[in-house]
Amino acid sequence: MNRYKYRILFSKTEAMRFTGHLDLFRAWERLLRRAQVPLAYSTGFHPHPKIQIGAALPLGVTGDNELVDIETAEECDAEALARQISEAVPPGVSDIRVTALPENYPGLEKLVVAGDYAAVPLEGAWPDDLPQRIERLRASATLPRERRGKAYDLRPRILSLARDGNTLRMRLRLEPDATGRPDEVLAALGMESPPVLVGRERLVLRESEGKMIGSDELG
Amino acid sequence: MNSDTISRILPRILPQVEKPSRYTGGELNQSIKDWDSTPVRIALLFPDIYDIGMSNLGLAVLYEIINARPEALAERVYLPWSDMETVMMREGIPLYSLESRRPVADFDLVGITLPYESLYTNALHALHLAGIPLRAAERGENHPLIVGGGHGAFNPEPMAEFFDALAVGEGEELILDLIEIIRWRKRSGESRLAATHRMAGIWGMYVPALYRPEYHTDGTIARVAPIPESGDVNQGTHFPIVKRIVPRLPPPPVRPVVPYLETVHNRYAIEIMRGCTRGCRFCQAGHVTRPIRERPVEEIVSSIDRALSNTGYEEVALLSLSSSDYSRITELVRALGVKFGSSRLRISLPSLRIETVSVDLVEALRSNRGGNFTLAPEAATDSMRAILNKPIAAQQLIETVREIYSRKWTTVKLYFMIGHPRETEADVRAIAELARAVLAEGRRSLGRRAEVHAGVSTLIPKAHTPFQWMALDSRERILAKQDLLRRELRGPGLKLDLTSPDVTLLEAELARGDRRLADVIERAWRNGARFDAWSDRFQPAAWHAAFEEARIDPAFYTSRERSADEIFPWDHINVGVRKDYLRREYEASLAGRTRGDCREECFGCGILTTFRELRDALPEEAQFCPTVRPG
Repeated sequence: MNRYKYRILFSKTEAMRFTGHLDLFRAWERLLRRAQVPLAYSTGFHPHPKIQIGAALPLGVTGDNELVDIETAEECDAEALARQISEAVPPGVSDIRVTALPENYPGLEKLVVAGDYAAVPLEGAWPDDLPQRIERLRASATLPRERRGKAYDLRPRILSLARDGNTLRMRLRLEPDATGRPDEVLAALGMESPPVLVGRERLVLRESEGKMIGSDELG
Repeated sequence: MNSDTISRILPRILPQVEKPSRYTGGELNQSIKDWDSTPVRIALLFPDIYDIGMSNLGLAVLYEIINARPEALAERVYLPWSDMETVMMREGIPLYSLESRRPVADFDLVGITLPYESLYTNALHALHLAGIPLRAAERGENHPLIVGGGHGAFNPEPMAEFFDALAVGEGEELILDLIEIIRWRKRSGESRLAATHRMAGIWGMYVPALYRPEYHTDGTIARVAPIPESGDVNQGTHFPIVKRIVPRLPPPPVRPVVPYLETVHNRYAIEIMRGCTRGCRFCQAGHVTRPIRERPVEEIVSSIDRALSNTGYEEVALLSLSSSDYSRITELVRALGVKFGSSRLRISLPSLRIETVSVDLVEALRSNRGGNFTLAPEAATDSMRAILNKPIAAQQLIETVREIYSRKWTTVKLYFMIGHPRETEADVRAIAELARAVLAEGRRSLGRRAEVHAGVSTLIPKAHTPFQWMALDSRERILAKQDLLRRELRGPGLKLDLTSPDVTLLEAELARGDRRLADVIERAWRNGARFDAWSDRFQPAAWHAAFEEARIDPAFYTSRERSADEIFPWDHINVGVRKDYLRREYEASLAGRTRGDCREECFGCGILTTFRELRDALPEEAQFCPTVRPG
């Protein structure tokens, strides 16, 4: 059976930012069904649609250039797909862009290596000594932390961290067993569950020959 | 606190709670209408958390009907889970609606559904979190009208004091009358009292404050009747209150709100038929939802089609009390196969009769393969089946499960019921034996992969059923029967699920109670009882204390066999099925006589006489009940 692969760029916005990863998967399945996309399914007693969502977004975080790969059982026109999907999006999904991929193109789990996050305070401003806190963090060789009862070192998962006006920008690793979470970075800066709005601006992919590319450059 | 303030606080607090999308709203197909320009504002409240309440079909039906009216809006309200409740308390956020995040107290009318008794304390909790006085008598001009509904309203008395009105029966048309009441009230500035009096004049509406129970010295009811001295304003009250029905099923919802969060039934549900003609004597739904009304095959197929393009659901449930009795079931299954066969849609067809044809039907839908197949034999001996009026030959059950296992379903779920006072040890033992016999059939087809899950509930003699005169089995006897099952129904491949006797007792007390129970329910809530339907939250001690404080003996409601002429707390509610018919059925059960399907032969339950005019006005193909000679 022929399989056709498409990569979809989308934004996960305010209305869906508290929807978790599994629930986002189901929302995508329903979106694609509404859009009448001829999805391909796995075989077996409980066939699953061939949908793969790029690195999970932490709950509460919006995403601007998120990625989902799908496989269809029939060949589709990428632009027509984008149109169909755009007409069927639920609140919280927008900005659909579609590209066709070669059949054996690597899956997102092999490509996505990092994410760029931007945090802004919901109310008020950052602490006055934020620059010093950032400096201290960047100067440390290790940042031992614990998440869900497991100890790990956050430091190697932070690729960059800088203040840009009122925005705190960070590039965090997104690899299996080495995922940096923005809330953990904020906690390491001395801010436990601060009232901030975090958005992931792009995913960073390692393309062939080690070239790094932002997901916003894909569409 | 207003909606802007709530919306401003939520982003800060939601990251602190589990499953925050329970509290955000904003899902696909939600309806947000302009608050200021829409005069009639209704909150539809399910008194449990979002995960449970979003699957309630009744509220989804009302949501779509109300929001289709230009003059009205409906928004959804669910209870917060305890983590969110703590945060809301700390921040001073009252219970709010998901759509526009308005405090519930800002609505004109709050509809609270009471589908089962273990939600009663939650209904009080919801009022409390909304800042609305619990008792109807304590509410002022500016509080919303609190209207109850759902199957709990068929015995409204235990909750009567907490509601301004209760809707008895079906809501699709009644809600339009309520909208009109509110619209007029807001236009005319009519008082709360006058509005409730006018509500009492609507077919199916019960305004408890206008009726008073009187008691005999032994505590039984003398009567519940309209209060005479309310004079001329009271002329509209009905006695008895005849339940509301729709003569034919209106079109179903086709644009339901699709939750992002996983909920208990996350699928498109469509009622294919309402009512039941089987007359299982323990079944309240089978009696209170009569007459039987079928939705045409064409309407079912086209509604599913439209709903799927509006929702993207990958699963559809065809709902009814007895799918096999839908007269065009084979045609329906074939039509669904033609229309959706290639679309990977899972279609579930619950409540099938125990016969091999049912296996063919489910298989034709090509759904649910390799999973569970559920059957409800209810009893395992011929004598108990005759008492319950669920006659199924043991051989037929065995042949059916043989078909099921041979077609690769690995698990058969069997539902049984214990607790009839005439039930013997042998009857209970037979349940275990039958479950083992079913497993043996499975082993023949599938070897050790075959499984049997037996769910054994305890019979509650419910209002408006032939068993309403009966006592509930005692706690000791229930425990002894359950112990016997635990000993006999065990081993590899067998799973047993039992209902806690404390839960059964509470449900029975509330289901059979009268207006005096209001004190008990309120005290139980004050003692911390809520989420009684959640086994990890249920607090029997809070209830025991409440009964003691209120000086009410729960055994009065549950452990008495009632005399033939006792007046029940729910006798002023007329569901169309006559009390003398129920009594005849009760006596027939004691004599071990069964009754067949009343579509073949009318047994004179009363539905036809109660709703004859409605029936006769329908085109012949839509008429319910068989044509019978008068008398």
